[in-house]
Amino acid sequence: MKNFKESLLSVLAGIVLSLIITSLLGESPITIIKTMYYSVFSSFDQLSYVLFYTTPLIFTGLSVAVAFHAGLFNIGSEGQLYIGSLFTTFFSLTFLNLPSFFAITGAILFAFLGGGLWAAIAGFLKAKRGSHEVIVTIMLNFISYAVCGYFILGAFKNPHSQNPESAEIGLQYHLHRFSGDAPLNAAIFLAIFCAILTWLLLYKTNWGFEVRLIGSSLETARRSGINIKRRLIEAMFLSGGLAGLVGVHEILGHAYKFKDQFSNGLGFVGIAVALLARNKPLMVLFSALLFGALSKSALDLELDTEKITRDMALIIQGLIILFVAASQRRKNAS
Amino acid sequence: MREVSKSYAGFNANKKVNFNLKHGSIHAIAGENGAGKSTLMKVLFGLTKPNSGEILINGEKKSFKSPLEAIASGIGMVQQHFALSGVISALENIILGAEPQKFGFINHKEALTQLTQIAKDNLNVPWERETNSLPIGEHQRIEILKLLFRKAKILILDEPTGVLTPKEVKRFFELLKNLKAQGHSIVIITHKLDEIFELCDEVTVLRRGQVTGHFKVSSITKDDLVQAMIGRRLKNLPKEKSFAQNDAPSVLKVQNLLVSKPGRGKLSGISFQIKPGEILGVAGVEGNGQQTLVEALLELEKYSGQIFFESKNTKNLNVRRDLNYGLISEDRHHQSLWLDESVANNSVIGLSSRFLKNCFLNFKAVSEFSEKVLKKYDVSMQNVQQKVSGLSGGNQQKVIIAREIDGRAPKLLIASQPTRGVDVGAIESIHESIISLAQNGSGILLISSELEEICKLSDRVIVLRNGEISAEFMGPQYDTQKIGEAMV
Repeated sequence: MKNFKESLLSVLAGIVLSLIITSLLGESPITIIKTMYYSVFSSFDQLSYVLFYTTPLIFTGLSVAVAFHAGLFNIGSEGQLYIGSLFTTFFSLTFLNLPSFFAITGAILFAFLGGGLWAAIAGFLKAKRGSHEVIVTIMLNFISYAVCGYFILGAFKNPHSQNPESAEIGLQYHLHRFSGDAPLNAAIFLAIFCAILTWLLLYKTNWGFEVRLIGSSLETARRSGINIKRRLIEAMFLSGGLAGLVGVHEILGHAYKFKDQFSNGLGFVGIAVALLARNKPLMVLFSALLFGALSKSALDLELDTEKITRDMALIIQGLIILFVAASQRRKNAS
Repeated sequence: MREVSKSYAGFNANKKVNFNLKHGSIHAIAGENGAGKSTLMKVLFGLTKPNSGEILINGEKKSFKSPLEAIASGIGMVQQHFALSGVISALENIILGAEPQKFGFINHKEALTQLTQIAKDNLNVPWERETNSLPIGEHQRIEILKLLFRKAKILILDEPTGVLTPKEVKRFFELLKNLKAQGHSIVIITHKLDEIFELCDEVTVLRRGQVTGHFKVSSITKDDLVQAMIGRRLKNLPKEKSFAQNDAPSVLKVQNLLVSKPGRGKLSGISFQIKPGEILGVAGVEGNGQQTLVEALLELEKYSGQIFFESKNTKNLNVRRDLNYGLISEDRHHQSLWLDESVANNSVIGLSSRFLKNCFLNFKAVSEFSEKVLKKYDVSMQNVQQKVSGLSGGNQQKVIIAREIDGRAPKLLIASQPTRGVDVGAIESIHESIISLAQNGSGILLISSELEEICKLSDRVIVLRNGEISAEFMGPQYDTQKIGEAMV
């Protein structure tokens, strides 16, 4: 509860400070608040856009949170979501005659598998050789960009396009959309389902008990008979798998093809999402919603005001993270 | 201190406590773990605010909002866990925060002059050496010098001898007596009876937050003191007989165990065995291979040689999971507990897979189990959902003992410093548990730096010195002199 209050305060402080900055730039804070409010709440369509931006952040937020519970800092969600997308693209372009249910189920499993295996490499190296996961996942990010580019421009290439993107997936793979205009799709249910499942796994199962023990008291875990190496690899697999599901949202729900470099940092924003949610899976839902709303309203700020650009969202995000980090620091000190 | 009360979340840590410290005396505050000794001193030092009551110093009423104000009034405190930076010199640690300055730079020369004056002959430490490279005994002196440098007249020491070797303790006591002679007043928080009788003039006993006695040390007996501390007399059960089944096959058999390591902590080919029901004591000064022995037995350290559990080679096995070894580690915070979790969850670390219900952990069963195993240990806590970090050290140790002995019911128990930092009442119940485990036919490896404990419990004692077994003694009676000689 106290954590929740602190997170809320951090958000408020971030927004207030940003408003002060914008008034220094000569935009009235009231205009900005109005614009942001309308951008998010004025119609069902607007709200759908917000939820559309929220969905991938839920996946990446959960991804970072899970790894964190095992004491691992997974900076590689970005790369894992690309490999997940690659796997799901591969599945969709390979099995062309499946009925929709099996097609989508298979594509989801492949997205999870792809991201999971990619992250498990870092988990494996950590468990067997002690290689630091931060370094390994950062490096794997770069490799993933190259690997995806290779396939998109090669085996999966769209022959009718000059853009760096894969061929389109079949209609049976398309996820349900909720309104004509907004790209909000059924992947959001998958995201909410994953949040609940992650929460159950971490807090209600023996697996989660052991993983959390490893994360917060490694030496006790080592002396208690827990199979640490295995748990670390499994936790990384789950973490990467969740990131990989961004591919479901993007490929099956939004673009219907793999556009090179589509993510543009979703995996890194996931770190902020998890931080604000204090790694609590259910809180990730709300924290992702906030970041989704920020992304959406920043776009409208750019359109509707003269002096503010979409970087406003980045500034607010940055300030929020700063305040969250500051409040945690204080607790550690006391 | 008059009528001082302090409560945390409904729990009375101090209840109308009166405490008088005389000029130039050494005053002990005794009591079990969690009796409120540390809380009382934290109030005096301004680390926490009392709910009611007042503090008078030289008849003048004071109220400290922070330790800084307490220090300004001549009060200094050394915490149980030292607060020194390892990478700077002893001198720098002492002056840290109160540096004599010259043009904005630290004036080392001036500091050194001041310190040598304070230190005189008996408090000299190697001023310029990096603190990490000094033995623990010196750390203790540095902490005390920190207080003297800030002109403290009243010194509060929280469990000062817990980490010192017997020789260091002796030196340390001489130092305190000297300080007393110079007119300092000293408060020692302790639960070690011997220290009180050797060192102190007066003793105030706390029990469950209340004063249960205030005595002149010269006018009481040990029994009176124990009575005030734990509310009853010690049963002081000697271990009547050995339960070792000497004809049975060994529970644990170690052959030529060799671990090569640079520096301390190596093992150079030791062999021993433990029979069912036998308690094998391992005596020795700490750092002579005890830790390595434990890690090797747990298969967490690479070794050459062979280890057999009930005639099964344990090489590369997960012995805690597959062979159900019981383990009491020496560092309870880092090696045995999950500090930010509940007592209940701490009761099932390593056992959690026994509480599955379908795919989920059955937390109700976990709580019930925890309550069941903790029942006989009289742990002072609100309930098992409380965070384990909120318990006193002795009570935390009870949680571990209950888990490893009653929860696991192991065939082999490795007990490393099982009663470190634990009060007399708790020591008694821990010893009883270990003995009754032996009675049920389990083998026990008891590693302890308390010679008294080893001699009281063990059927046989081996002495570790520099990674070798330097001597072996058969019980039940031991010549502690000889064991002590074998240690160094």
